[in-house]
Amino acid sequence: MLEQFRDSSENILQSAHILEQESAAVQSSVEEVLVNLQFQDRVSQILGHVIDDMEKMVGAIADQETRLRHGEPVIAIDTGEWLRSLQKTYTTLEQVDVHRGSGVQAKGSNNSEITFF
Amino acid sequence: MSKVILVVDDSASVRQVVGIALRGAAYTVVEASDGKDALTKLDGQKINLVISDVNMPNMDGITFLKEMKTKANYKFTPVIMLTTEGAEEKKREGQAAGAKAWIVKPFRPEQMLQAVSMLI
Repeated sequence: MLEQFRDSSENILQSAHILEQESAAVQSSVEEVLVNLQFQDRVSQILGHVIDDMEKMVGAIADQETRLRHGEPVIAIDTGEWLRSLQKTYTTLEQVDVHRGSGVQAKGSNNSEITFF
Repeated sequence: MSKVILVVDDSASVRQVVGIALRGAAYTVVEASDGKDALTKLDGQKINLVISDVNMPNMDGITFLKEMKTKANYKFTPVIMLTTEGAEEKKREGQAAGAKAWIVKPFRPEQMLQAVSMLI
């Protein structure tokens, strides 16, 4: 009887240990999901800027077409000014890096910057 | 009674992510979708800490922070800016407006919770 009790206790302890490990694994997975969802937010912002700029370009081309149709001279787009204007919309360091041509500095979620003031 | 944290972000998924992490640590969470919405949510409510995004429609995070600091009840409420913005200039702007911390997304929940526990 005591042996049975001891066996049951050991089984319970083993099950508790397994549950603990699985709980830790689930917690880790949930954290990964929480981090990945934030990447979606970043990408969404960046894509939003790209789409806005493309729509701005479509508008600028349409203006030039209208000018052509009315026999007016085409005004060259100032690409430098266009890029400067685009740069002001950036919210991520990756966008700034790509704009400068310095390549994307890969940022892992483990290196999230926290600055205390 | 658990501490109350106001989470301000125009992204519903980010509010969810932050909310899950905070509720898991037994904080009470109030959500707002932008600075203007956050100011209405502040009205009269006990808030122990604010976590705010920077780039939001209607009212951005820096403007919201400045407005919040003019209200007597919230003048000393600590604010963490949680944002994709990592530029030093923007951080200085946040610091000047009264932010206590600046976290660049993506963040790990335990890092954010550590920052929260240091402030409240």
